[in-house]
Formats: sequence, structure tokens, C-alpha cells
Amino acid sequence: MSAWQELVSAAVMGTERQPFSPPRLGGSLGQLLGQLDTPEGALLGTAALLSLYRRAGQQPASLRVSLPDACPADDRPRCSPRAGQHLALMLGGQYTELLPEWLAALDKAGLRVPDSHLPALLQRGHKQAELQPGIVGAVGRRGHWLAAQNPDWAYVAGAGDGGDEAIHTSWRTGSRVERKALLRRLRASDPDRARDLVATTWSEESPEERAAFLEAFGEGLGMADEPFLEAALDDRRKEVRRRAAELLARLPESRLVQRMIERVNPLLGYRRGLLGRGVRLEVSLPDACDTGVLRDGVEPKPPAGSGEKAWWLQQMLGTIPPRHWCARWNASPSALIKAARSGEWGTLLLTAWSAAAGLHRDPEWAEGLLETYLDGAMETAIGDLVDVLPTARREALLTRAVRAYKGPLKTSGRVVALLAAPQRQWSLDLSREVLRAIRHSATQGAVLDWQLPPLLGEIARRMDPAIVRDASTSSATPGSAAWAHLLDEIMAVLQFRSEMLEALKSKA
Amino acid sequence: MPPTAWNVEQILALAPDAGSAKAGQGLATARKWVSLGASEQVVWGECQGSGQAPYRTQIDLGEPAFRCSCPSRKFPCKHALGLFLLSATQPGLFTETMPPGWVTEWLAARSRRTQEAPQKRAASAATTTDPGAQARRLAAREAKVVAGAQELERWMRDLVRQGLAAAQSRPYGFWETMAARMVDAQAPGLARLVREMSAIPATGEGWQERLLERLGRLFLLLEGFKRLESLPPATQADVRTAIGWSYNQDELLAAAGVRDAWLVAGQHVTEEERLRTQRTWLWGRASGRPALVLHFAHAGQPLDTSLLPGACIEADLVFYPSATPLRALVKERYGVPTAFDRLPASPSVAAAVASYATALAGNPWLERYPLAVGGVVPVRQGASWLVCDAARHALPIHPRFQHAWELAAVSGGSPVTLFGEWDGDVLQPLSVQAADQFVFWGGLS
Repeated sequence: MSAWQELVSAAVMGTERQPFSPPRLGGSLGQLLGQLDTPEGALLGTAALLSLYRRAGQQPASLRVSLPDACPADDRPRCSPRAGQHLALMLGGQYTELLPEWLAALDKAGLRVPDSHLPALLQRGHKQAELQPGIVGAVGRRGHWLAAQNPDWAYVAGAGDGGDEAIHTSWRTGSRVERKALLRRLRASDPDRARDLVATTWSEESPEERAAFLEAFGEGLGMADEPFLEAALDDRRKEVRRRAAELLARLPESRLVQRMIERVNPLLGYRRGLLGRGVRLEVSLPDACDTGVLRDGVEPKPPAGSGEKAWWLQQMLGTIPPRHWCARWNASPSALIKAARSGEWGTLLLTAWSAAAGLHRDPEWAEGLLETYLDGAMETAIGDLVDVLPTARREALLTRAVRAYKGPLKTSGRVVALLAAPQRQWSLDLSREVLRAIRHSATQGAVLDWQLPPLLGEIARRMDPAIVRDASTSSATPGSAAWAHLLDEIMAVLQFRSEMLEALKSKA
Repeated sequence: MPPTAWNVEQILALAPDAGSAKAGQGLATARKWVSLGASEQVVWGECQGSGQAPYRTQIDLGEPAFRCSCPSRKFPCKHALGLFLLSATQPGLFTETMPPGWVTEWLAARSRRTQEAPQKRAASAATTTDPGAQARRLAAREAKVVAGAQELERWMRDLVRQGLAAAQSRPYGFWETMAARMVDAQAPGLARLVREMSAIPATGEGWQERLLERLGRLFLLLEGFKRLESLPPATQADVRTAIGWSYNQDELLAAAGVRDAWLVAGQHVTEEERLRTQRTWLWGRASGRPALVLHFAHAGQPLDTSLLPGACIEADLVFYPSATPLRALVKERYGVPTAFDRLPASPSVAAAVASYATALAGNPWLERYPLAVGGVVPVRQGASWLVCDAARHALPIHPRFQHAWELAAVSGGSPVTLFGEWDGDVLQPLSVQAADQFVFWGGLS
């Protein structure tokens, strides 16, 4: 309204510099304006009248942009408000490490996250990439709908279910985050299609993107991927070559592994002595690390304390499936491990075989190596070996280890290393054994070393939460306040897990 | 079994700060409580703390009112929050028994106080001091305010004479001095209006319009005050309220109240210089009219917790006099709060804005007006959010609203009923009702 604009200009100038008279308007407004006196009073009075007139007569603005499509109805029911409370607690910073477990349990129960918690959860996934797969499954259609509107949450979106057209369009036009998410999803359902998709634009991609996309190949890896990965060994960027080599090492029939076998075969020999005595493994070191070896992913520079050639051999041996040696020499894993222990190259062989057993998921070798570890004859990291074991053997091994150990739990101890290694959840019986061992440690009054609580926290997440329903049988008091506090925290984590899993059993 | 009209969100909204909410949730587990019990409207428990004897916590669910023997000065303390949460999430843990002595004592003391309160009020109202002295005091105050208003008018005329452009370069003291003088003149409302205006020149594009609008309204207020006697009584009340006259609560409570089932639609807490103000909006189910209940707390003191968004209370409210009555006091409550049902809402944005216009026409100094609009969808436009109805009319949402994505998530692109405070420019959402859920926000802005 121009009268208002003129009034504002007049006010900015001031009545001293420019005399003011109220605008002439019709109607009752004009009549009121006509009654004002003195320049300042007139200006202020006009301001009051006009501003109120405009404000009261204000019409709502019309929307300029289009409305978003409504979200289709969800097929999954919402979880109960109590479960939502647990989620809010975890998103708020308490027991955050339990979030992956909660999300997995939610998915298994066929439920989804309550609407008002979606933004906080999606934002958490943006900050912590490792949570993304779990979140994608938990948010339901409402979550997908919401995520499509915020670029930070692009990791959720992905036309995995679309036809070829839709997928190709998304692939060509999406951001890196979106494409990576799409690829990951596609690898889970149709790895070949995913690989073909990557191949269409491979030569045009930047090295960072090539490296990022190779990461997704870890899902659904198979021999069908071998040619593509073999070609990637010649890539200009080292990161890409390294990832390709790592992936190929997981495929026992790949050319890379066959090449490694050819290289190492002449370097190792198994001698059976007379009458079962004098069994030994003979090791000779490789002469050189040629371009072929480098191409296959071997790092030429050894870490401190290791010889160059020994380091090359260790890496090469680490890619070969251990059962190859059983077949070659017609010997059992335990025999070979025993032979390695007694020889001068024990550390190298056992380290390499541990890596190989973990990489190729060989349960027999894993068990043999873990037994060796428990005996104290192997100083190497046990990495994935615990997870490789089938459930029954794993439970038996751990139960035995825990029962046999009488001393207080130490960070440097083998029992703690076994318990804290990556692995699936424990049975109730094993959980009870471990809790008993922890309580026993507490009463022994050893000084609590500062690295132990996070490890024990990790251990508490493995236990079956049903353990909280056991009547508390421990009568001995903890030796120190630190141990008492630690036990309390462990029980609190278990209690929370029990409650949160219980709450997920019912829907809203 | 204790009545469970409260859900977890409502209970957590009672927490005085985020740390208490967290601690309360940590205590909402059976392990921490040595004993738990319930009887009719009361729940109680003993919580093992770090001390020798467990802390005794009890809650009267009627209000709710809390009491705990722990030394914390926070209110409600973490034990009370934990007990409350536990009673809402795991009612099975509470055995119905006779309350122990320490619970019955507290209940008896509370009922004594509530019975004595009206008597006390009547007594204080009756013991008027010498009416002559009171009249002289009132006259003295009136004179101070008149003088203050005259001074403010002169100051405003000067401002306009020199022009708003000059006002922008004025130092902070220019405004603050006048605000302080208004406080001295016993007109705190005028002081607040001056302070609010002082911030406007720094608000960026369009500040001249905004400042002029405020100046105009303040001028109208002062003109109204000059002619106070000639105004209708309701408008006189609005003028007095805007200037900062305080009303005697006891006198107000002596009047008859409006009885209705009042839905607690939303709540908002603001803090300024260690004083927290809690605005609670109620909506009468039968009368269809809104009400605003204000509570104040200085730093460290607890805020009132008896009105929880999402609850419906049967109560008598007495309204402060006004041409568009909004502010009210709860005179009497009946029974316990029940669960929420549908919030009565305007059918469209245009209708809601029209209701604001009507209210503004009654009271030109109206600042925040409660809007409940049904059938709206939240929409993102660039970096800002709006809500839009079927006629494609849109209301902008306050740029500092923190929960816009939650609002979008709850709506899912489908129409919802939104409740919030409208100031003529932007809407501050306080709660939303979708098909099967009610979500509210509030806390500190």
C-alpha cells in the first residue's frame, strides 16, 4: 500500500526536515486520519492506524512452491512409545553403542521407528556412516519419504526397486553418497547388475569414486567379479589397486590367489621325519619383490622389527587358503600348526595362517590357531578368528578358556582378548560363565587398569540380556570401589538391553 | 493401579533441565528401587542412593505433585522423575497396598493446605488496610505513571521529529535510559515495549517499517491512557495491562470461574535475565475459547508442573479483564487429568487468521495469539518452513523453530492439526495432532 510506504519514508526522514500531513484516504480510515494534529502526533497516529489496519486486514500468503506428495501408508507398524523412549535415550547420548543392536532387533520384529524420532536418527546416520545400513531398514516408508527431502540424508534414498531406467538415471545424476548407497543396496540383491552398472561409467569416474565404489563390492563378492577386479589391479590410483587386491584375496579361485600359491609353493616344505620324529617345516625366503608381486597388493616396506623378505612371505602366505597346505602335504591343520610351533619360523607362519584363516573363514584352522593362542604359544593378533568358528565350537572354546582361567581379568590377557574379539552374541550359559569370571576378578582386588572398562563394556554387549533375571548369587563384595562401579555399569548395560529388547516385542 | 493419563514425553517435559531428564530415565528401572507402592492417586517408592538410608519419593498423581527426601534442590528431582516414568511404563511393579506413614503424613498436610487456602485468601481480602491510605497510594502510583507516560510521549515525538534514520545510530543508552525511567514510573509494560524497540534497528532489512509499527502502537497506547476514563471498561483493562499494571490475584480468584474441560494444547518456556516464564495454552472443549496461564520462576526455582500438554483438565478458570480475554488463572480443578482428544481447530488458515484479526480489533496491543489450524501440511521453501492448507494459503513458521523436521515427519505430507502462537508474522508451533499421535514441543526457546 503506497500510503504506508510514503509514511515510512517520511518517518525515516523526520518531520523536522520534511513537513508531514496524513494521507487523504476514503472511508472511516480517512475520517480518523483527518482528526490527527501536530506533525509528530499526526505521523505517529497515522502509523498506528495504518499499521493496525494492514495487520488486521492481512490475508494469508499463497503458496508458491508445490506441495510434497503425501507419504504412502507404512506397511510396518510403529514400535511402542516405550521403545521410542529407549531410542530417544540412545540418540541423546546414553548407551549410544547399543544403537546397532536396537536397530537390528527392531528390524527383526518387523517394526519401524516412531515418526517424531526420525529426524534425530537420520541425522545420526549422517554423522556415523556405520549406522546407515541399520537405519535404512528401520525408518520405514515415512523415513524414506522424509530423507528424500534433505540432502544430508541421501544415504537412505535409492531406487533399488526401480526398473533399469530409474536405476541408470539415479546412477548418472545422483551424488556420491546416493550412488554409493544405491550400489550397496543393489549388491545385496543383484551383485552382477551392480557390477555392470559400475562398469558403465568406470573409466569416467574420479579415483576417489572408484575407490569408494570398490568398497561396496565387499557385499555379494563372488567369482563373477574376478575379471573386473583383476583389471582394477592395473588402476593408476594405489587406493583402488589395494582395494581390488584385498577383494581378490578373498576369492580362493581368483588368479591373484593362484599366483600367490605358485610363488609360495617352492618356498615352503614339510618334512616328515622317521618314525614321526623330526617333523618340521622348511622355509626359504623369496628373492625379490617384482612388479607382479607389487601388483598383487604386497607392501614392499616392512614394519619396524621385521625383515624385508620375511615380510613379503608373510603377506603372500596370508592370502592363501590354509587348506591348500593340508591338501598339498596331506596333513591336518593341527599337525601343521604343531610343526610350525616347533620351528624357527613359527611366528611368521602362525601370523600368516591366522590372517589366511580369518580371510578365508576356515573353521578348523581357526580352532587350531585359537587353541595355540590359548596355550600361550602364539603372540599374534587373533582378529576375526573367533567369529569364524561355528557357534557350538566357539561357545565350547570360550567356556573352557574362561573356566580354566583363575586370575583377575587383564587387558593384556588372552581371555579378555578372546572375549572382546569381534563375534556374535553368546548363549545364556556362556554369559553366566563370563559374568562369574568378572565378578571373581572384582573380588580379587587387583588394580583395575584403565583400558579394561571399555573392553568389558564391549563384552557386556555380547551377553544374553536374560542374565539379569538371574537372582544375584554373588555374596562376595568387590575389592575396590572402581570394580564395584564397573560391575554396576555392566549390570546397568545388561538391564537396559533387557528392557529395550523387551519393549520391542510389542507395537504401539 | 494408578491412573496412567501421562505418557513418557509428558513426564520428561517436567524435567527442569536435560541433565535431570537423563538422570531420571536412568532411575526408571526396577533395580534402583528398594520398594514401590501405589494407592488410588498416589505412588511412592524408596530409592537406594549413595547414602545409608534409601530416599523416599512420592507423587500425588492428581496434580501431579512431588516430594522426595533427597537433598537435591531441583524440582522435580531425578528420583521423582524416575518414579513417575516407572509408574507410566511398568505399572505392574507397583503393588496396591496401604500407604506407609510417611506417605499419609504428606497427603494429610497437602489436603490441609488446600482447604485452608480459600480461607486464607478471604482473610487477606477482608483485612484491608485503612481505605484512605490505600486510595492515596493508588493515586500516587497513578500520578507516577501519568508523568512517565507524558515523558515517553515527548521522547517519541522527538524521535520522530529527527527521523528513524537518526534513531539507528543511537547508542544503547538512548533506549535503556528511557526504559529504566519507565520502570521507575511503575510502568513495567512500557519499559518492556521500549526495550523491545531498541533491538529492532539491528534486525536488518525492513527495520524501519517494524520500528514505525511499534512506535505507532505505543503511541496509541499512550493516547488511550490519556483518555482512559472515556474508554469501555474492557479496553481500559487492556490499556492498563499493556502499561504494566498488575492485578491482585486474590481479587480475581474471588470471581466466578468459567468451568469447562480444558485441553492443554501447548506450553512454552522463555528465559530472560534469570527469570523463566512458562506460557501454558488451554482450550475449552465446550466453550471453544482459548486461555493462557502464566507461571514464573526465578533461577533455581521450580516451574509449575500441574498442566501437561496433551492432558485435559476439568477446571474453573477466571480470566483477567480484557476486550479479548486470554490470560487466566486456574481457580479450581476437579478430578484427575484425563487423556487428550481432538483439539478444536479452525478449518482453514484464512479462518485462523480471521480469528486473529477479530482479536486484534478488540485489543490492538495483543502480542501472541493462539492459533489452532486443522488440515495443514508443513512445506519447505528454501531454508524456511511454512504450513499450508487445502486452499494453498500458507503461514510462515518461526525461523528459529528447532523441530520443523519432526513436524514434517509426523505429518508425512498428510494434513494435521497444528497449534502454536501467532504474532501476525510468524507461527511458533507448540504441538501437532496427527491421525493417531500428539506431539508437543516447548521447553526453553
